[in-house]
Amino acid sequence: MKWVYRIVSVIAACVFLIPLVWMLVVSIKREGMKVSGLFDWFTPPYSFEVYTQIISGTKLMQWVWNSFFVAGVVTVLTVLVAAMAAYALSKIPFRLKAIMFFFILAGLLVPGEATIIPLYQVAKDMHLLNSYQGLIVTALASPMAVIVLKGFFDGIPNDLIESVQMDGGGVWKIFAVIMLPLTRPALASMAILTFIGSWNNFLWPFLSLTNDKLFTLPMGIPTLMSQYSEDYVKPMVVNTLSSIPIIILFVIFERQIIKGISLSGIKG
Amino acid sequence: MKKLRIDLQALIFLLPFLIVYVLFTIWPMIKGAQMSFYKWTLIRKMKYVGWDNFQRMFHDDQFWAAVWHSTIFVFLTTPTMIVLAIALALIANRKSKLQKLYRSAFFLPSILSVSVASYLGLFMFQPYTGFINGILHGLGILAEGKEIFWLTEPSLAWIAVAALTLWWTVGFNFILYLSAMQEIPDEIYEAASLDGAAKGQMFWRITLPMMNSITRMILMLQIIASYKVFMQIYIITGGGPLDSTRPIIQYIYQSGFKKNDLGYAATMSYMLFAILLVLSIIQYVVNNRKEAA
Amino acid sequence: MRRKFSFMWITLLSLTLLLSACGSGGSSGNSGSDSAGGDASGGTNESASNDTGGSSGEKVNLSFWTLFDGGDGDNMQAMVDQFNKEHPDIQVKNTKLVWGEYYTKLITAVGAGNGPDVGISHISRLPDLINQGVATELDDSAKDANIDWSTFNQNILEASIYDDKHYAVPIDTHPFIMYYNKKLLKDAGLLGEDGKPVLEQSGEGFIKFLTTLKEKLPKGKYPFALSSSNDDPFRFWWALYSQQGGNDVVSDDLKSADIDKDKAVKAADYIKDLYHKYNFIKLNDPDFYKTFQSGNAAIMMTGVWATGTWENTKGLEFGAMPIPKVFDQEATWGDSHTIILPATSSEDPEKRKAALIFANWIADHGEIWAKAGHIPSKPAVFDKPEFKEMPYRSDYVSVASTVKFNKHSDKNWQIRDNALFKYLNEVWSNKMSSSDAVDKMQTEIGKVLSE
Repeated sequence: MKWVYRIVSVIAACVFLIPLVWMLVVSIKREGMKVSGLFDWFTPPYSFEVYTQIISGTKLMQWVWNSFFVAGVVTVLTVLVAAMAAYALSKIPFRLKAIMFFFILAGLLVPGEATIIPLYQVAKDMHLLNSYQGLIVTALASPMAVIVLKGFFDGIPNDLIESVQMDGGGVWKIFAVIMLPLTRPALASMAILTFIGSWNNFLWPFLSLTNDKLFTLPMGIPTLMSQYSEDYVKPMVVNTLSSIPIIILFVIFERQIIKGISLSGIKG
Repeated sequence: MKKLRIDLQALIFLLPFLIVYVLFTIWPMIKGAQMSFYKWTLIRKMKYVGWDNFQRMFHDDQFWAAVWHSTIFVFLTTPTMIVLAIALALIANRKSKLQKLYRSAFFLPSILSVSVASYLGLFMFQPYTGFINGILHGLGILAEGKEIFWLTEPSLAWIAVAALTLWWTVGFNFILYLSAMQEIPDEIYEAASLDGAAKGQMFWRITLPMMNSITRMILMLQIIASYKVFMQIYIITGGGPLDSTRPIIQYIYQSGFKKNDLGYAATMSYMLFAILLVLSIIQYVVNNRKEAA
Repeated sequence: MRRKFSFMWITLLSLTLLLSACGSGGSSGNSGSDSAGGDASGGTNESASNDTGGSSGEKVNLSFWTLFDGGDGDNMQAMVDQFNKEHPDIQVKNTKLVWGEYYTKLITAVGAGNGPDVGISHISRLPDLINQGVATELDDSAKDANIDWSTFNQNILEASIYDDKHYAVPIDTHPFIMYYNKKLLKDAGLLGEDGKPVLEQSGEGFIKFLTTLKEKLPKGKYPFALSSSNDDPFRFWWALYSQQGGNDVVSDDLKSADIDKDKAVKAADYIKDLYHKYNFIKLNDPDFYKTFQSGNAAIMMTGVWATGTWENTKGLEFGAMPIPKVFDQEATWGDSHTIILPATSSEDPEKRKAALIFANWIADHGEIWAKAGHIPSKPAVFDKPEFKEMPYRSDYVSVASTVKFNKHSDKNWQIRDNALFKYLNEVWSNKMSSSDAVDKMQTEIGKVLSE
């Protein structure tokens, strides 16, 4: 029984890893290689020629950068903006609070995809098409993050806030000194989800960008693939180059990322 | 006076969010409502057409086919996703030297960009030179000279798309289940084993019920996410063969930007919104009833 | 646990801040919303403008959007560079867009008022662009630019005229032709003394030719490389349909579907048999270009643009010829790249004149454009020594006059994508009878036209 368990586990791990291994190995094969048996995929000769070609001949690395840049900025701003709103909803006793809360809650139900066509018109009217700004500002409103963070802020005892007020601290101080530091895990969790959402955002960049200097990976990669259809080396080099930075990040932050996701499950 | 000051304070904190929220979520919703009553093209030759777009939608076989395809996708991926995530969590939750490796392996594909995952899938499922057929040939399951055309048979194409999606996205749910399992106190298991419960029984009697709330959450998120499927299918099958895998988002995209009919596309977007809304409400009601019971 | 989180959070935050700082610094130059200008890099010869004669008034800058990639893209850039060198007072800036999204982006940009001064259109797509107000009528500007319309191939030119007005300057024809691998044909005894295939020009003749190949070719080689879906088998079908006298799939008033069913079915059945009855073609070939390029197929059919690719393939001895006359008359599928003047807010006559001088120059220098394989739109180019020196092209220039262009429907592409491809694909995969498919195509075309 134990052995069955072990074998199944190992097979499962292989199923998940082999495609990635295949991607890596094919990417260092020589173009035009002949593959007649299964193991031919994995055997030498290897070559990095195509890597140089892709790095110097295409804008791929620029797109990797754009993806990180856009996802990074979107993440920081989304979480900040959402935290501010959540703070107001949670700790400032303003009038019309209930209405405001439901107004934001309603946003949870709006699927981004359903508004994308009119969003296009709006962005066009605001001259936001074809720019980093257009990629970033349209992605900042996350009602989900507001609602989740409000839940966490609610859990912070009011005495703490009062003690800062006694010392003459205003709302900004409370926000920066108490709210943010005490809810770091929640903020991190929202940050991870936002980052991954932006990292994979396809439809909006796809619709709004024509300048290939601004492309992000999800929409940039297909433009390279259409040109290299069957020899697998180039596509796999493109795939590998696109993935290496995020894999490195993952390896560094694995524990934090996994904890962040777990947390979103418990509270979400 | 003090009230006003507090209101102002709140407003300042709310303002950044409200600006982006109103501009890029609420306003497009309103705009979309307007567009759906117009014949609206990319070049903006607008013409008021009343309820025409809606009428057309209700009689548009292709639209309903696309809705159906998205539904197929939901049915194909949601249950399998949950079962697979639980199975993987069971594997990674067992004490073993490879425990960490398992956890990383199952989650790693989730961080790939959607296009990387999709193209990987596309190339793996290709005939003649693809990796999957290569493995089948290598294992002797597929006779020499025979090929499985994964991407040109509708049922196989669905399998390919679903398999790729599972591989790529199961990691998230796996992590959620894994952490839920780890939250279950060991004492409960110990007590059960004192009562003579077998391991299998413990899973059905303790582990699964304890993870009920997480399952419900995943179920809901998964259904909504699956209805929005687009990119994997767009890259792997292009919606073919014969539009038999074309999901609703792709049809909306094509109507809007390829057929240059933004008004109609907005109309269909509203329908998608309505579908998701109904699903959310059903889910909400069902959950509340369960919690009350 | 909390400590680890704070560590991560700070790192992530600082990382992203770092990223954003660098990013906004490095990218501020191109983050503007104006896409019409494209990018300022590119190999334009700005310095050339200081050279000779630019005395006649101000320099005209033109933005030019193209959809060419690969060899086509390089050739177009080379032509733009040369033009800029020769015309100090007109500077063209070429922005390459992605093929699949080109028209969507063009229409959108023109609609938003930031389209280019010069654009490319397929002649089959022209009616749609005219109807939408993207492509403008250019007779007046053509007079200013001294364009002599009689210097163009009349078959192509006619396809660019609507209501007696010119809307585009054709720069090429790219018909569907046949390529063959000389070595494989020779081994099979099917290559004549003249280096051309021994092939009787008839339906049976072509089948016999392929049958002989199938018998004689070594294992692992295919007689015929063709994809199993979408463009190329459709083009082949269009050719065979036209060879029987079939005249497009829409009625003359462009309002209803009008497929000549017998002919359409006959053409589809003929091709279907090549796949499924005779097994000449590798089914669902993921990349039939590669199959031919690597010497694994004796013949293949596609557009003339492949010529340049084959020429650059080491060890590939190939020839090019019109596709066989399977039915009564010679005819093939083809399209044409044209230069259009998209609508702009200013409609500056100087710019439009300059744009047409550029367009005419491109057509005049078809020998450069022909490097990729295209047939120049001006017959005079055929006599240029540079063109004559290039092999293969002269074997198929005559095809330009046998191309059966689409009628002037603004729904051409939609019909192709949503009706023809779709059901023909079903025939090629042997899931639908040709007769059923043609009936469905008829219905679907009707639907597209009525939308």
